[in-house]
Amino acid sequence: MEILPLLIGISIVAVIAIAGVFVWAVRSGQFDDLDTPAVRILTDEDESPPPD
Amino acid sequence: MVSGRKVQVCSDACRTAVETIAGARLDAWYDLRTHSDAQGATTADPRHRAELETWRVPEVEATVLRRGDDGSSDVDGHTGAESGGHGRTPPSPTAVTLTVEGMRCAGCAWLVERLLASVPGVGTATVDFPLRRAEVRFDIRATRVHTLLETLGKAGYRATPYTVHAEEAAIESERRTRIRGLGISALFGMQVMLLSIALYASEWYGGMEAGFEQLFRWLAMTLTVPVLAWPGRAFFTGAVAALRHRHLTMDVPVALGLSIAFAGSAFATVTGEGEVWFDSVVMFVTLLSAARYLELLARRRATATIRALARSAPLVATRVRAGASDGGDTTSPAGSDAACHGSTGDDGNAASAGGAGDTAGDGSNRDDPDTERVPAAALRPGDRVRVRPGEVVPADGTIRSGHSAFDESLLTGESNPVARSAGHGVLAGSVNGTGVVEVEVIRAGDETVLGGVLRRAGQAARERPAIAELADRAAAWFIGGVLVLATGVAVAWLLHDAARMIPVLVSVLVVTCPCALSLATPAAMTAALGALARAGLITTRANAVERLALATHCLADKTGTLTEGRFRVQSIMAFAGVSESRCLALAAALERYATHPAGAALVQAAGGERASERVVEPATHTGGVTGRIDGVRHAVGSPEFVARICGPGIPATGRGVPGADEARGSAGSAGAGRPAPSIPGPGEARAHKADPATTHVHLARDGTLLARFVLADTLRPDAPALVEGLRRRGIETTIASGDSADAVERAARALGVAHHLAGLSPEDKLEEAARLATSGERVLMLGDGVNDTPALAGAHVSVAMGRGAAAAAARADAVLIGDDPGRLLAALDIARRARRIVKQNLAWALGYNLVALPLAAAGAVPPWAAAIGMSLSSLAVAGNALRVGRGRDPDGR
Repeated sequence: MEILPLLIGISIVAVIAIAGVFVWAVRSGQFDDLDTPAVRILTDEDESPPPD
Repeated sequence: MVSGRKVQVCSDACRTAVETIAGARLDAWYDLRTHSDAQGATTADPRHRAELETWRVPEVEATVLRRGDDGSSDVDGHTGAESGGHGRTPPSPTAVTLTVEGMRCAGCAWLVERLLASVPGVGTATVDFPLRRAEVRFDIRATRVHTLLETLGKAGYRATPYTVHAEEAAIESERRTRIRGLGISALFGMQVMLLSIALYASEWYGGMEAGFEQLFRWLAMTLTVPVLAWPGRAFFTGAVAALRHRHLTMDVPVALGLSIAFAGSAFATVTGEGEVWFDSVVMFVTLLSAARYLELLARRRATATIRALARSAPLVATRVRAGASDGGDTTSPAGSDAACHGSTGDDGNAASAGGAGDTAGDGSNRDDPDTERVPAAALRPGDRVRVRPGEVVPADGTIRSGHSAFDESLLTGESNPVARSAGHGVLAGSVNGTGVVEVEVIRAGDETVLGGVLRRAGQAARERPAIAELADRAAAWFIGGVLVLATGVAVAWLLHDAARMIPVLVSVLVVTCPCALSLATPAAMTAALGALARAGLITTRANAVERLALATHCLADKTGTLTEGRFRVQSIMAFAGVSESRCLALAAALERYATHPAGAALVQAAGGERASERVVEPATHTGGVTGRIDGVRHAVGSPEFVARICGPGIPATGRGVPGADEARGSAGSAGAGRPAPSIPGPGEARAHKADPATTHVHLARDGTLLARFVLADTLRPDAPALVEGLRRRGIETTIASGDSADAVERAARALGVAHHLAGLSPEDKLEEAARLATSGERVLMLGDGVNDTPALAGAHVSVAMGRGAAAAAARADAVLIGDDPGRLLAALDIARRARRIVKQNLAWALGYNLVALPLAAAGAVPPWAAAIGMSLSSLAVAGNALRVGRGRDPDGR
C-alpha cells in the first residue's frame, strides 16, 4: 500500500494539469464553436492551395 | 432566385452562384449541405447592391476594421491548423467580422470559409456557425471589405460587416466563464468522487487504515475548496444578492446546502469524527453549472438572431453642406431621368460582371462639390441629405425636393415601390428607386422607426420563457418550504438525537436540491431550439416553443406568406412576329439595369438566354429602361412608359391589345399607413394592374410593340401541404389578407381553405385574432409584412417569414428562414414534443422530491444516497430532454 500516496499524488498533479489545459483551451476560444469542426473533419483537404 | 433548386440553374444570378462554387472547386458543398433549397445570388437583389455600395466608402469601411492582431490570438489557435494550406500565410494586419446570412448547415459554413479564403489577400477566414459569423483577416492593400461581401453575395450568402455590441460581448464572456466553471467542477468533482468511493467502500466493508482514511478526507477537502471558490462562488454571490433584494432564488438553499455540507464535513475532517459529504458538494456544483450553461446557450442563440435583423441599417449619408442652394439640383422628371442616365452609363461597364448595377458609386461626390459623405449616425434633425437612385434613405425625414419611388420592403414587406414627392415623409431603411431627392432629416439614428424596431427586438431577447419563470416562482415557494422544513427537522433531531442532526440536515437539503427541477425546462428548451433551428425556424421570443405547441388556429396572411410575394412571369404575348423567348431575352437584357422587382422577374425568367444581347447606352427611367440593342432603340417597362418613350403608335394601356382588360387595382395587401399613390404621372406607372394580382410589362422596339409580359404573384408550392398538415394536427386555417376579395377567394379555393377574409386593414387583422381568441382559440399568426405586425404582436404566437419586413420579424415570436412555410409543420411537431417532455420532466422532478423528502427528514436516507438519487434524477431529466431533438427529423437526415 506504500504505492498509494504516490499514485494519489500523480492523479492530483494530472488533474491540475488537465484543468490548466482546459482553462487555456476555453480562453483561446476552442469552445466557442462546437458545431462546425465536427463536420469540417469530413471534408477532403486534397485540393491544392491557391497559387500565391 | 428563390424559385429553383440550386443545381438546376434558375436565373443568371443562380448560374453565377453555381459557377462560383464549381470554379472554386468547392463542389463538396453539395455533399455536405443538409438542406436542399438554397437561395440564389443576393447580389441580384437591389437592396443588397445598395448595401454593398456603402462599403465602398473608405470612411464607412474604416468603422468595422480592426487590427488583425488585437487581442484575438485566440482565433489563431484553431484557425492555423484547420484551414489547411491557407494557414501558413503570415498574420494579416487587418481583421473584420462579418455576419453571414443564409448559412443553414455546417456545409454552408465550410463553403463560406473556402470562398473567403479564395479571395486574394485574405490570410485566414474562420466561421462561427452557431452565431452565423465569419472572422476574416486580410491585407487591406490587396482586397477591400466590399470584395469579400461580393464574393459571398455571388454564392447566395448575404454578408454584413459586424461590430460587436456590448450586450453580446457580455453574453460571450459569460459563456466562457460558465463553460470553464462546468469543466473545472467536473474535473475536480471526479477526483473527489474517486476518493469518496474509497471512503464509502471502507465504510461498507471496513478495513481501511485510519491513517489512509484521514488522508483521503483531507485530500477530498483540498480538492473541494477550488470547486467552491471558483465555479461555486457564483451561487454564493447570487444568494447574497437575492437576500439583499429580499427575494428567494434557487441560489439561497443551494448556497445554504453547500455551506452546511462543507462546514460539517470540514469539521468532521479536522476533528477526525463524523461523516464527510464532499462528493455531494461537488456534484451539486457540477449539475447546477450544467443547467445554467444550457440556459445561457438558449439565450445566446436568441440574441444572435436579433442582431442579424440589424443588418440593413443605413450607414452612410450624402449631406448637403449648409448654405448650398437647394434649388440647384431640384429635380424635374426630366432632370431625374438625366441623373439616372448619367450614373448608369458610368457604372454600366465596370459593374456589369458583379451585377452591381446602376447605383451611384462613391465617385459621385466629385460631381457634387456641395455635398459631403458622412456616417448616418452623425446626422442631426434639420440636416439635408441627398439620396440617389439605389441608395438607402439614411434617416426618417420629409422630402424637400425631387420625387422618386421608394422600396419600403424592409419596413412593410411590400416589394412594389411607393411613389413619394416633395412634402411626403420617407423612412430610414427604404431604398430609393429612380429619382434624386433631397430629404430634410426629422429623426436620425436610434430615433428612427427602424431603430425603434431593432431596439424592441433586442429587449425581447432578454425575456425568459414563461414556463421557466413559472418553475422559478414555484421553486421560490418550494425553497421557502424547504428552508422552514429543514429548520424544523434540525430542531427535532437536535432534541431527539443531536449527533445525527447534521447528516440528516444535509440529506434533506441535498435530496430537495432543485437540480432536476431547474434542469427540467432549460434542457428541454435548448434541445428544442436546436431542433427548431435545424427545421428552419429561429425563435426570437423565449415563449415561442411552448406557445407554438398550444396553438389551435392559424391565421395566415396571403401575399408574401402563402404566395411568394414577388412577381413571376405568368405569360408572354408576342405581337410582332418575334418569338416569345427572343422577346424575353431582349427584355431581360434591358431589365438587368433596373432595380424594380418586375425587372428581376424578367431577368429570372430569361435564365440562360442572357448575355447574348449587348446593350448600348442603357438608361433607367421612372417606369422602365431604354437602351440600344443591335443599334435599334428598345424600351421595356410599364405600358405608359413604353408609350411615352416610343411614341403614340403604342397603346398606353392594354386596351386595343387582344386578351387584356385593363383595370386599376389596389396596390396589394400591404397598404398600411401609406398614402395612396395620388401623384399622377410616372411615379405610379407600374401600379396599374389588369387584375389585382397581375402586372403588365411592355417591350417595344423603336415604335413597335414587341411583347407583353404578364407578371403575377403565385402560390408557394408547399402552401397546400401546409394547410392540409395543419388540419391534420387539429389546426384550422383562416386567410386574413388586405388583398381584394377576388384574389383571396382564388387563393383560398386553391388551398382548400373555407374561412377567408379580404380587404382587411392591419387593425382588422388584429381584431380577427382577438375575436378568435375570445372564442377560445389560441391563434398562430403567420405573416410577413408590416401590415401583419399588430396581429403578429397580438396573437398567442406568431411566425414571420424570413424575407419579410424586419418590423414584422421583430414583433413575431419566431422567424421562418428560407421562406418555406412547410417547415412550420416540422416546427410544430418539435414544439409539441418539447412541451410534452418539459411536463414529464417537471412531474418527475417534483415527484422525486416529494417522495424523497419525508424519507430524508425521517433520517432514512444517508447523505451519499441522497447525492446519488439527486444525480440520477438530474440525469434522467437531461436524458429525457435529448429526446426532443430525436424523432422524425424534418430534413430526412
